[in-house]
Amino acid sequence: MKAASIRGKLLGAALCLTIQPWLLAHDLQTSAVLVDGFVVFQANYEGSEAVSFAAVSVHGPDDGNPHADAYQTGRTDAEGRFVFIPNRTGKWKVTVDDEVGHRGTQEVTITSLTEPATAAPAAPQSSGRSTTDRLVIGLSVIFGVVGLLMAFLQRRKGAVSA
Amino acid sequence: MHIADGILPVSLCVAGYAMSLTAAAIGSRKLQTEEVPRMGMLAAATFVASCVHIPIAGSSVHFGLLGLLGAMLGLRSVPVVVAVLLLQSFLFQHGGFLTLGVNALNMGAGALSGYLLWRMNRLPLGLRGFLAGFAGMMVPALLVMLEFQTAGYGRSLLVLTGVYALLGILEGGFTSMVLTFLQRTRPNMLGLATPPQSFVGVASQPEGPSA
Repeated sequence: MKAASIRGKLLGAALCLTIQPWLLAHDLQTSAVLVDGFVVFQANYEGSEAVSFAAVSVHGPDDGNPHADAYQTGRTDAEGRFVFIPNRTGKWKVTVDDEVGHRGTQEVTITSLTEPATAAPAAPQSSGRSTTDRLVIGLSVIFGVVGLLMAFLQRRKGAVSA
Repeated sequence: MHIADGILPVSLCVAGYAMSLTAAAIGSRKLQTEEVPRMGMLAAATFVASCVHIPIAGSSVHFGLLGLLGAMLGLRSVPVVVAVLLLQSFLFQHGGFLTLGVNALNMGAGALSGYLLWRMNRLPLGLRGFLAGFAGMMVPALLVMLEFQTAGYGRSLLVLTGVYALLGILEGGFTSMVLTFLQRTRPNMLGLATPPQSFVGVASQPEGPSA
């Protein structure tokens, strides 16, 4: 019985290690770089798969209403890139939407229309943790909640029977 | 299938929250201590399975194990679905917070349809398992398509639904294997699916001894 239990655990661990390379959740990551006055926007699913040919809309600093006419619309290329030329300084918003339920927005701050060729990239909008880390966090939360819930129900059962 | 924020109208999102939270509250009633570990294990399995994504048709699809969840937990699957989606939304940005209710409603409907199909013991055991897994994949996909249509959003959704149908066949086969195995070897593991009064008549107890 004990040997069977150990075999089961080993099998589980082996299965986890085997499927680990395919654990690529489709978190949408976006980033933007300023190059010679052009904004080069990039969108990827986690695991570096490009968000190809997805709809993109660009809103300028004065377009407070998200439903207002966009400054520019278009689609990403095969590599998930989209390029536009801002015409004023301020905070720009670039939204990418693959039209099957995944959407991401990247803010790009333009301080000058004649940026140097190697401007710092805008912060990528993602949680920054690896998929494995997030899986471990998620599983820890699930088992933690299970433990707390069992303790709570046991205590309540004890109180009722007492 | 996890809908991001900003796609659906707010009224639909609010209705989704109201319906899914009500269903989760009903599914959590009279919860017993011994039911919790199984719910936790299945929550963990669903959480991991939904992270195995398959890039296809310019997007990505993934397994959900919702049919298995529904067949093994019955109404208890709804609170599990809500908890798993909350974690996925926080940790993986799968779906938005505003659309969490609608997403939970879609996935919960998948799990419950799997549960209902699994309990139709007039059908052969393997077929019931297959249909439970297939419905667990297809019902959410069709609901998402319906919601996108309502919101006037999306492209090539029919193509994606076709992809999900193929994935549903795979998931149906897997669910059928697991449920048939459990029914024959550990039928007490399928003992949580207690039918509510409203379902009596359309569904009946599965074969084998219950817990």
